[in-house]
Amino acid sequence: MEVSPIIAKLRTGDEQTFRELVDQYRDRVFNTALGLLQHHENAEDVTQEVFIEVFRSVAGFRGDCSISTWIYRITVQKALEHIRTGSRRKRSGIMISLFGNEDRVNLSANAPFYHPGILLENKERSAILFQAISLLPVNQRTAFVLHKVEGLSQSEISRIMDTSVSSVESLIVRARRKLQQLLSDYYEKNER
Amino acid sequence: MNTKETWIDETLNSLDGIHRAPGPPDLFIKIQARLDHTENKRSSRQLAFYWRVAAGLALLIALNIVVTLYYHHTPASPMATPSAVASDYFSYLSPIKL
Repeated sequence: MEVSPIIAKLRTGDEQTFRELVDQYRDRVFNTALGLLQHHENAEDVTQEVFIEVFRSVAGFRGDCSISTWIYRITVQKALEHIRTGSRRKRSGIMISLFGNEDRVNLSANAPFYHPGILLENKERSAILFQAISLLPVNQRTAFVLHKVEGLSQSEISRIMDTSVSSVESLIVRARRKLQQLLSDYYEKNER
Repeated sequence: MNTKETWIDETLNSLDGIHRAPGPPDLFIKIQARLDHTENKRSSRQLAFYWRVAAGLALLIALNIVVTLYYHHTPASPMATPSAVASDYFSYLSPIKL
């Protein structure tokens, strides 16, 4: 399989090409990591880790997908690793109800996250939505964030997640349904 | 549509019109620093390894030299000379001959 000129240059350790790649994908990687992690410092950390991984593993990149897909894949993988290690440490922070039903998780248990790219009028509502997103199963969360926060199409997401478009569609539908349920619980608890 | 459903819908749609969060502007410098740091760490670890190997070899060579010197400086016992060995050999054989 033919390798793109950028990859070929990266393999030679060309610093200028690497700098251009970082500049080109910096916002996409950071925004994706931020959407998944909902934490600025952690997202920045993951962004750095992603590009270090790109730099180190470019020799092994087979070119069976686009550079963009490859970088998104690394981003999702690194962010999920962060979530896994973080949730192991922080599991006690999430208040699961006595009924043991994860769907009834208390949304206000976590500190609110404000995404810097949100319209001002949506700031408060989106903070609640982000809390609900953080309670979604990992696959649903990934698909939903890539679609709604990063604005990727379902076919792009399917390539990143290495699954079919219909699976991505199903993940997004299920995520939306679960979010509705979580928001409904939140609304009832807070008696708006 | 009641108030609750309206609120849920509005909340679900609150990500509409979202802009990409800009990544840190000094990202490349930070990445480079991390790469250099890891590289330095790796090379200092390699250096330490080479030093240990070199020290081990030096010790081995020193021990060999000491043993060799000791061997050569030890005065040879009269038993060790060929004529002594031969006479000793024959002196043992002579009672058998009869």
